[in-house]
Amino acid sequence: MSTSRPQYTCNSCSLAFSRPEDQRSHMKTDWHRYNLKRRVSQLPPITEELFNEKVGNITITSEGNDIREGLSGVNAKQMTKKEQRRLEKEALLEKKKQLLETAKRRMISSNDQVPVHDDIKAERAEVESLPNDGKGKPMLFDNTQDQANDVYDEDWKTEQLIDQKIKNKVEIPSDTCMFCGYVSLDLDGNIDHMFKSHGLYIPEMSYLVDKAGLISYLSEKIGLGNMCLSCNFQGRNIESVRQHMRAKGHCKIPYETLDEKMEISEFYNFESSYFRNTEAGATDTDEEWEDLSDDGAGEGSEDEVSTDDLYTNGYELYLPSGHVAGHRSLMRYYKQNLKPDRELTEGQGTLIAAETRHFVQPFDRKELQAKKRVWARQEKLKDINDRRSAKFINHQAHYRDQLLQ
Amino acid sequence: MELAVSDNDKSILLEKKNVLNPSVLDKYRLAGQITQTCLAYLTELINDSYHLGKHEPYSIAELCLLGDSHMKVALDSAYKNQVREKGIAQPVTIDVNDVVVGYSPEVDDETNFKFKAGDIVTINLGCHIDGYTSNLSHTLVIYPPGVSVGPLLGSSADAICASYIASETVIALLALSLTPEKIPQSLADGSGLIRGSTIRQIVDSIAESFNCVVVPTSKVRRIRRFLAGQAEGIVAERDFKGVVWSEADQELKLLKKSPKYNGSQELAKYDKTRSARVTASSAVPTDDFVVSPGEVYTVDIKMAPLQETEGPGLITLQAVDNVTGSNNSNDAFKPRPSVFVRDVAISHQLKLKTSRKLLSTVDNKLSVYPFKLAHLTSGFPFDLSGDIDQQLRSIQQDIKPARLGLVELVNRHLVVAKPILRARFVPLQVILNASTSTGVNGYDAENPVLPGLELPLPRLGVTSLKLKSLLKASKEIPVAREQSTVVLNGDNNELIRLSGGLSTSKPSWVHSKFQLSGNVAQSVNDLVQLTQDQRFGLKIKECQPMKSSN
Repeated sequence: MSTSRPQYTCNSCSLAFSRPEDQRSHMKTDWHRYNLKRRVSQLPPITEELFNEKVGNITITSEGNDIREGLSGVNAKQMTKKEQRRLEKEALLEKKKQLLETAKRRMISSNDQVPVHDDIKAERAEVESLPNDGKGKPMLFDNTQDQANDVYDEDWKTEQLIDQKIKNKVEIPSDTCMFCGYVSLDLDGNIDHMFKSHGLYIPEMSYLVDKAGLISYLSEKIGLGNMCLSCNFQGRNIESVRQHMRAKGHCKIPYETLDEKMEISEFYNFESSYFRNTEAGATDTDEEWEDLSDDGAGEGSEDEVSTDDLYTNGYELYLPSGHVAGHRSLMRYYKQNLKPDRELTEGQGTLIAAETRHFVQPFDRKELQAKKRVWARQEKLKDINDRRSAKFINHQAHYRDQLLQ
Repeated sequence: MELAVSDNDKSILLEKKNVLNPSVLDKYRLAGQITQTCLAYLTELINDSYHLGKHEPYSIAELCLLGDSHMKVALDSAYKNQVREKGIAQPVTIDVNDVVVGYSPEVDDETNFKFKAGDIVTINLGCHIDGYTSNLSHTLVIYPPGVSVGPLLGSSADAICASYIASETVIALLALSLTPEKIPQSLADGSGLIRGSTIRQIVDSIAESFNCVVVPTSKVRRIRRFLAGQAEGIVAERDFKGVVWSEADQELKLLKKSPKYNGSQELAKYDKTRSARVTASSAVPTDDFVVSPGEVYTVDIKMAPLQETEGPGLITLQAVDNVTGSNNSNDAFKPRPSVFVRDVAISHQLKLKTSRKLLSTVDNKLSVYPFKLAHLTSGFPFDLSGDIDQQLRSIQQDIKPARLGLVELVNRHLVVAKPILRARFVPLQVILNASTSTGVNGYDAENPVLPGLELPLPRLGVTSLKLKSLLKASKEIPVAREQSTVVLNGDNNELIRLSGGLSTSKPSWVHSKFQLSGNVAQSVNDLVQLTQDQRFGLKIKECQPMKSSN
């Protein structure tokens, strides 16, 4: 019996042993434990070689982790996936912050008279560069790295990216539709086509002075930057961005927020709308706009046109005609229709002062509500009392025969 | 209450502005002069047309409007651009025989009529400058046309005598309060003060000796700036000071005459302040006050004779208008109320454009005094030297749109119509047989009275509504009225009589068969002597009418 069928087996690892010592020593191995766990999770056992190979791999990765952790000394095995993800994210955020800082520093160091749209473009380029950087080296960000070196690195990367972009650039002429490539007769025909087929509406048409410039700027944004006009989608190539814009109905110029307005403001001239301010030079106006963008004041557009007869106190705009325009934030107060205060003459005042009649008090909602609560409570108590007493209506302490009364 | 006046303003308006300084006295004096002039003008018109037959007699409506115009013209030239509020304080009302107050018909009123010989006619008017008011009433007798026919005899004559003597006596009493050392022996009660009860007592005794009754709403009251009694019953003014006669006083007297009353019994006590719906008890009139220098008083005495009545009874007032009782009474006298007063405590958003316009005119152009619609027309005041008929017709046209708006104002209680009151004698028998099933809590909201006087017969428990229903069994009775305004100037101890007096309100030629008797005759004689004594008597100055300009 003992020869034909070994008595000492391990069901988890599908092994047989001739001696009980062997079996016991096997039971103490990691391999057996591992297989036991696999069995619990209804997986087939693995061979010893495979197990050893696996253990070897894990040791290598854990060693790598140790290296990465450096001096922290945290046990690598304790790090969960979640924590890893968090760390990665933090590193990425840090990197983003650094990037923004360098960009800001560069802006400050560069000349103040840089046109606004250039700045915006540069910023955008940097922002564009962000995800690519993340892909290139996902977690290798060293805090101890030299800042200047980093800036240099970033610049180099941006250059590279721009080079790549320029390589992929698709030139869209002014008579070609930027969304589908349809060729019209001229620029106006093209605008007409884009309006009719894609619904591209150009805001403030009457103040637009550089139509070709605006269209070429937008075309460049699509052809070179592969950017969607109205959301921050970035296509891999011009086809993808065109498809995105057509599919999502994003063939439009956003003109809501100040940033959006400022982006295309260089193609516009609003001077004709400040009826009295035409004598101010063009350069002055530019500077004022600059100031405005720095301040970021949303509604304060009246401030710029501060002539003698048009001034504001923040909430009211005094027009030269003598009318006063109120601010829309106070609209609810202007809208209310209050009776003007009655001015009493001395006679009326005397009569009111001498008056001792009782007048009807104005209706007090709170007082009535309090009263109603009291009434409701009283009613409820009465009801409870009624129900309770109803139980004992027929209650008699002793039986009394009606016939014997 | 929506409107309120700060305490500071209150003390200025009610106290400081009422201090008699030279400028205030000037305003009072001028107001008095204007009323005197107007009364003289109206008296002349009546005499010329009715007595001397110089021209076609004017009707009452015309006389009223002419008087108002005359007053308005005089006021327009006074204190130009110096005072904000001045104007007519009481539109001219002409109350004939049994009408007591308030009859001032518009030109198109159907009841408008002309006087007959033997009528006693009360002219009642008033004006104010900057709220300092002078009111005036005087009763004339219409004689048959022609000269010197003889005195008026009969019950009306009793009333005229009684009212004249009573008002002169009260004025002398008020003057005595300035010089208490001159109080004659017959009046002295040891305190050296003139009290409300003194005034009531002497007026009641005079009435009794002429077989007359002091008609309810008669009063001797202190007036203040803008508070000259024009809104009595509407505004319950605080610190009311004055003697007011009401039905309750007659009731008390009748009960005391009862054979079952033995003098020591106590009659049912009645607390006036309980029924009054006021926030301050000082608004309820009582006799418990002392006349003091520096005050201005209106003496308004109305007397009704009991000569032609049978048995005991009450003199009460009946409010007449064009609506009430039109179904079951064949009384032809249904005048439309024409004098209105604004209730400034009420505000309401009006619907009709005309009524809004009218209200703003009333609030801005007129003061707090009663007004007539004719005062708001463009043709007012008249050009008294021009074609009067033509102007009367144009005013009649102008009134129509305003009358439309007025209905809404009245319905919303923004303005209150001043009632037209007639004197009625109700036999006591009728009252005793009636029962007030509704109890004594009902009161007549239509015809407001002073606070505390809502219940006319408190001891018999008859409400004003019940009394109103008993008026079917009543009898009309003529009323004579004398009203004048006096200023008690404490600075030089003189009484300035703003209105009335011999210069304009000379009593008509009447002859009463009664005369003063007993204790009251002595008192009145003493007082008359004091007023006539230039050196040691009372100093009474009368405002003279202005010299006529045309």
